[in-house]
Amino acid sequence: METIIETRKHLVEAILNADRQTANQLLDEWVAQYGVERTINEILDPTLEDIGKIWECSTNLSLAQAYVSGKISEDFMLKHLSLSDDNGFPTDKKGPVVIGNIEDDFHSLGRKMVGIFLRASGWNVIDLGNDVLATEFIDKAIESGAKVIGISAMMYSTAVNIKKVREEITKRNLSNQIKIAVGGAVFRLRPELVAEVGGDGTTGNAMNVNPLFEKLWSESSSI
Amino acid sequence: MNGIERIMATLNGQEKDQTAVILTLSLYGAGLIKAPLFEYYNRPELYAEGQAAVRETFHPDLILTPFFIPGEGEAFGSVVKYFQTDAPNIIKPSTESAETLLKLPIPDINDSARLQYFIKATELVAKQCSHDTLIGSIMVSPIDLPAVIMGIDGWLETILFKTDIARAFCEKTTEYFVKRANAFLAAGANLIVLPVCFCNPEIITPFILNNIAIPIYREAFKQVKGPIVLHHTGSPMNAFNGYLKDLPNVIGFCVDPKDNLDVARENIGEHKLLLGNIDGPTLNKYSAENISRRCKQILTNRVNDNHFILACSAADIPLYTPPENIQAILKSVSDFKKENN
Repeated sequence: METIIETRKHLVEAILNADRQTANQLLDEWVAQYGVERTINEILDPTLEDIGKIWECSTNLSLAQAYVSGKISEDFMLKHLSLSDDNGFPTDKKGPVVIGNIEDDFHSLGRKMVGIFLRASGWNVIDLGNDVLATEFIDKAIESGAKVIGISAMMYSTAVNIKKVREEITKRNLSNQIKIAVGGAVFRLRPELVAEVGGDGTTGNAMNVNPLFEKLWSESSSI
Repeated sequence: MNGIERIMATLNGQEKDQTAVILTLSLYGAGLIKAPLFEYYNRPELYAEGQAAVRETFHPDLILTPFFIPGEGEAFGSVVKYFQTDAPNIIKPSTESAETLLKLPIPDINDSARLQYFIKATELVAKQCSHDTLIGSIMVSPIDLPAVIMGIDGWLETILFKTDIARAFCEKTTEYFVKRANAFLAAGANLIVLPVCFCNPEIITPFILNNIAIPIYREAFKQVKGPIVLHHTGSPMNAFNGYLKDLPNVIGFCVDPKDNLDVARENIGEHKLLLGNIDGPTLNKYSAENISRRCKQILTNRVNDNHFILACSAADIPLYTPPENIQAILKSVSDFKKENN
């Protein structure tokens, strides 16, 4: 059996090669030998952290590699976590939180990845899909008790529509209750846009979405 | 020198009166003639009128036929949404599942109204400017096209986890691509511009590029009866261009504003056209002075590069960009030549 370090190294390699099958096989072998909890703590979480660091520090990580990371987490949860609901994720959930692509934006990949990583981190995620109006975001947040809304936009022309969500929050006097996380390719290219559209925070990659949502959740008061 | 002479001299590494310039003014033409965008992207004669206005206003060295990638998806049944001031976008892919992908009918370029729009627009633009301006037709490659048909996420899943289906579908899109590219050339286009909207370093790995994409590119490109320029779309391409430089019929590379031009040149070799790298979609955000300064930096960097064309990178120049910002690019080029004579 490989050491922890060797297994993590091979798991990172499998993810960087976008090789989901090998990654799952490595994790399954560890689960069989050491159990689910140790596999999460000693292999999966540290590996995802390493991949997150690579993503944060370099432009060389592709969406394919990040997507495979998310899929591996999802596969693991579905396969090995017995304390799970219908979606296969832990029942002891955080949230709920609402996510969606802003009005006129139809680039769903980033949003889907954010959903995968949030669920894998134990959040109850309400995904409203593409082309979501400002009022729909706020109505759903109020209805569900979500204190954080994650909004995705790929291009500048659609990102500016996020301003409407901020305006709606201000209009309904909910600025302390609902926080906005924004993300998408355009925010990596133009970080100043986060403030311009009224975002409360962002992250350059989907893997760091859990700490961002935890921070924003802690900053907001209950609805 | 006219646009044809200038670009041909650049291609051959010869002296020219000034650096050739290519501006992404496909959308901008609609603003110049105040055409509603739905009409502009559905009536070829209106598109040609818009590009005639572009020529009259800016005298670019190359005119583009419609930069309308969502239209490629529309031909396969995707639903496109039209906006007031921005280029159209796909709101519903024609299919999202790999299983149904292979059953999707491939449109006939002679029967499809959408594909005929592209060809007729090319014919009309070619009639207007074939004597002095080159014409570039924009389309997507056989392996980038499925991302337009089923969305990036659906195609990424297919490539990653259902590779046999991906390869089988690309056999169909290769045949389709070759017919379309050659139809563009027959309609008067001088070169084919291919935005690498999926096979770029932000989306796929070098392994996928080398093992899946490049064999498909090679098979398709060798059948195209004209030159091809690869366009970075919206992703830095320096990490991949070295792998792509020897593909059949590829004569040049338009790189990202974030791509280092020295590295880009090193990657693609001495004799390929290098195009870039003013950021087109943000041109409206800067003053004419800032744009001139950026152009001068680029031109200074490439002063000894005989195969360089100053070009807008990324997507279309926004419709509401002040014309003086675009004029600033053209003036920078002529001023630079005078200063360096």
